[in-house]
Amino acid sequence: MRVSFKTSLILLVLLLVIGSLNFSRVGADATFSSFTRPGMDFFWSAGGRVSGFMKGVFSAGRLAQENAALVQENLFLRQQLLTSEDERGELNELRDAFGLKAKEGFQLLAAEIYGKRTGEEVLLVARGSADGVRDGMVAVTAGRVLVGRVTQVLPDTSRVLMISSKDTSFDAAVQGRSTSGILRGKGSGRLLLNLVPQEQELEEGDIVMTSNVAEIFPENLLVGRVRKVAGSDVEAFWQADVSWFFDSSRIDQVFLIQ
Amino acid sequence: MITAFLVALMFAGLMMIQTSFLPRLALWGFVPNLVLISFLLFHLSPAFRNRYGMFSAVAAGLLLDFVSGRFFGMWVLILLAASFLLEEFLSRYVRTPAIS
Repeated sequence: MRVSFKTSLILLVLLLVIGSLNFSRVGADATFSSFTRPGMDFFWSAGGRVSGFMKGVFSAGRLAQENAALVQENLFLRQQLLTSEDERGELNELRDAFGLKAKEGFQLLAAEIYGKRTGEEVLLVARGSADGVRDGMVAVTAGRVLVGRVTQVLPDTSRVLMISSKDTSFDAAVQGRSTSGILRGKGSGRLLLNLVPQEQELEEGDIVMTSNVAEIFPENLLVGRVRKVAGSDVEAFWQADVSWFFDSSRIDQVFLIQ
Repeated sequence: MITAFLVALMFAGLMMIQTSFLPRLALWGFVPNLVLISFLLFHLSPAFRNRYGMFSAVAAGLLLDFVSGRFFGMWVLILLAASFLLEEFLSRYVRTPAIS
């Protein structure tokens, strides 16, 4: 490929034009996403259907076992629900007696997912500044599982940096224990719970939630389950692989906390 | 001209598939970069390299720049350099009669 002077000149001008798009990146991204979103919506929902079918085929043998386990878990959760309803009644009575206000819930804005950036832990969602989305809003699933934080807002769409990104770390706690640590992303949907002091308890199967020590995310949002604990008695801290409850192959929608 | 348009259209289709379809089927979170792979495969053909090498680098690079959060123009520069280097390397050391 011999590059002539004319071709070099055209390339130089083209690169300058492309480089200048960085100054109006939001506008360029918004125009691009308005063209490509219908196609990406189609492919995202088609991908969901294919993924659901494939999972059904490959997990057919385990379905009976999984069903039995879910029935047991359902019964256990019903029992817990009854207990917690009783406790909530008592709590409300106490609040009334002491004149305390109940904590207010979140206001949520539903946003359809329509893509994920290749090689990056960034979700593309179909809500933008026109819908009231702001930079820094926290994204969760319908089951209050933490997904990430809005990092770029366009007029009709937004980008959510997932907590599995290597750029994300935040304080987390273990449900039912006084154990806390720093949770950080390892990329490709993987999470690592780190800096858990040796004197605190941590076991496989523990549920990891957000805590609000550093006020990075609202507290008590579900994150995942401890899969494997690493460390020894001579080390100062435990660390653990956490399997994230969020699975982008199954979920079409996130909720942004307003 | 029509071929160039079709190449750009194909890159756009592949970009949508890799951004919206494949992440839902990803094994261990891995999603192949279809635009990059097809760009490299096209460059195995000397005829394609000569006629559409730089055009495909700009088209594929622009699409990858739009779907990445990095500096705009980074992928265009990378693919232009790759196109030039592939041409230099393949035309000197590799013969692909079946593809050409």
